[in-house]
Amino acid sequence: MISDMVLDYPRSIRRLLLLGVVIYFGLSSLPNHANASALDNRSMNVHDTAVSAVTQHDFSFTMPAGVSVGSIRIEYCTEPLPVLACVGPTGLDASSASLLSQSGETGFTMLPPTTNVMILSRPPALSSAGTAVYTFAPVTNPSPLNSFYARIELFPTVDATGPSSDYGAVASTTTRGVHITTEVPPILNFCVAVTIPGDCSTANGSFIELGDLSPAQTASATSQMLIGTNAPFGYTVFVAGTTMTAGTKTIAALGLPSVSQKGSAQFGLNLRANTTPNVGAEPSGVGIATATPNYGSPNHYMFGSGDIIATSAGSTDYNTFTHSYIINIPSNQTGGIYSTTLTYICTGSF
Amino acid sequence: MQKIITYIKKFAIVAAGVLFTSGIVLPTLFNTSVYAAQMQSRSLTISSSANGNISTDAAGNSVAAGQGGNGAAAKYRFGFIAPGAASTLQSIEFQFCTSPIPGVTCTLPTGMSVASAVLGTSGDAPTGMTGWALGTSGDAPTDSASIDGGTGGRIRVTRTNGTNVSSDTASTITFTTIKNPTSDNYAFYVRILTYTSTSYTTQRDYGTVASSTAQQVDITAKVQEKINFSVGTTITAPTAACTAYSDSGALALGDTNGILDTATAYAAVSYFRLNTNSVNGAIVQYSGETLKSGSNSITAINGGTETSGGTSSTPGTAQFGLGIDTTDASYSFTQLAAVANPAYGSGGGTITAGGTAKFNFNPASKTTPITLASSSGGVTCDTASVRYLGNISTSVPAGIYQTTITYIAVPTF
Repeated sequence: MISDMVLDYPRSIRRLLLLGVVIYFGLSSLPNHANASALDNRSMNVHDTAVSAVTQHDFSFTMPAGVSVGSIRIEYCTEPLPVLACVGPTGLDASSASLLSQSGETGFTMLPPTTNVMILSRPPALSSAGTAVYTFAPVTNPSPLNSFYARIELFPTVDATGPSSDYGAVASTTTRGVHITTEVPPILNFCVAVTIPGDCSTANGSFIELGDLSPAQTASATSQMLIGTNAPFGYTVFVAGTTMTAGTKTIAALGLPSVSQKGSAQFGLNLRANTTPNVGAEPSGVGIATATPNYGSPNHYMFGSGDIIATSAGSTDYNTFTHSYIINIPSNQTGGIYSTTLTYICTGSF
Repeated sequence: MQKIITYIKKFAIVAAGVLFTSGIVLPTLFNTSVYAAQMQSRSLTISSSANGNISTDAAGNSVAAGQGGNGAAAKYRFGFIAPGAASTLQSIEFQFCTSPIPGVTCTLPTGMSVASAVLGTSGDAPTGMTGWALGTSGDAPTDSASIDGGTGGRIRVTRTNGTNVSSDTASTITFTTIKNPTSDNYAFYVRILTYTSTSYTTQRDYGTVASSTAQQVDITAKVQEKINFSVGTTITAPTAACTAYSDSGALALGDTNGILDTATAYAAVSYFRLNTNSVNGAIVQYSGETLKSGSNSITAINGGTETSGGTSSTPGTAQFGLGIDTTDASYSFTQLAAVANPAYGSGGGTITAGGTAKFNFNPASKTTPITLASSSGGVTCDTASVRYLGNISTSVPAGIYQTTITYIAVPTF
């Protein structure tokens, strides 16, 4: 029996040594900041919190005064508590991050980062009290929709080894963005009336009475049209109809832009403010549409059914055009009630 | 003959035993109290069972003398009934020993000290028998009194009172600033001896009390940094658990088909909810672009320039803006407050032309997030309703317009 016990001593010693080694390494692997002071006013600002976003992370905290700081370790973990082993958040990747800026306590360079650890290093120096801010990018956010944490530690050593002097954790979370969707339909807002003082809801009137025509007097009148479109290739406005007609009798239309001549048979229109006669108004509105040359010259009038009278080169906000009509008759104009119906057609090019 | 010898041997052994017991043990046990009466209802209440080295709590905070966590300066309250007898009771001696038995060598419990003991006053003043004064000079509290052949702690009190304590008298005497033994879970004893004289002679009564130090239970709890922040577009009640939003975050802006119109303003609402224990406040920011369709976009309200009061809706003009709608039923800010300048808390109201609702939007938030709301401390469970405005002009090309607004919570711990 005694002999057996003696023979067991080497095994017992070996076990004891093994246990000692295990305990030593077990203890040495634990976070070494049991006596670290807390960092105050610490925050982590993730510029884009979408999952897996590649973005910038800013870290801010109050640097304590008079602490020998040789390195700062920022370690991303799934838990903030230092007593728990750090597990890097799934999907988070700081291995490509670089130090974009530093303020407050400065003089740091960045050691090669790992997936979840970034270390700033400098020759150890006593710190000054104040707000310290360090920004890093690119950092890939965690892939799950969840909270994640970063542990910030100050070390007197240049490589974040040994006990830390100060410690603090910060939290952030990945989030869903608000995905706003809307549709802008093809828009062609177009209206014609005798008067349109505002938008198309204010359009008023469709009948123009010119009274008795006279060779000595140019009859004139106006109507308006309001147009706006988001057609990317703009729009064209056509005029369709006949000249002034009374049965088989007509007042000749002006086939070319012409000035008004009393005593001549003339029916025409343009889209400008005129002085001879004094009729019409300049196009208004913030849109980009214009009258075509044949219908855009003041004091020159013409009419041809199917003519394009106004165009826009692209999408345009509203323009209001005023149609200026003139009618002249010769002295031998056959009596009758002359009339016409003009139709304006706007075509958007989407 | 052999039997006789055996009987003689047995008799001799028994006789020796009797002699030993009666001559040595019994006199030792009852040496000092052979004529004294034993006090009844004896007790010792100590203010702290922490060992005498402890005067701070688990967090390192000092614990006041006489409180439960201070074993270095404890309060000892003795209670007993002095037996009624035709004799005075004018002095008491308290002996602090590792053994309870009078006559047995007294040894001061390890680490214990009564030398600084003070007789209690006010609420700790003696009761029952009163008028006591702490012994002085050679009778002052000491850790090195010669007691029963050993060295123990001793506190003496005396009074001048010639009246017999003729009936049983319940009494208490309290001493403060006694240092407990310095080991945990360590039993110790106090022998109490009363005397008829003022000079600690002519013993009257006796009794022993026991007490013990005890291991303290250090309870530690950790509260980790916490943030629960969620964004959604479907109304969800917060409930007591501050339930997070969990929908897809999809939001259609426009009419029932999600279509905007030049003549009508449209608005839609999303929500965010924050819960954090950040002691130094939190901010909530937004980041994103205006509505875009390929290279086309709906201009941010007021051209993307934030204004202090925000900008009203103008149907027919391209506008995209946002603001917290404090009138929404889901809105529930308690700790958070919307940023007032530029106005991000005026999204409630009408959105007709020149309506009361005011909006802002900064397209630069895409790269530099804009703060929408903030708190000065933690946030229990605040919900924001963020209202988005969409207006178009005729110059906004047709298309499907989209944007993703990301909300960012930044707590400062």
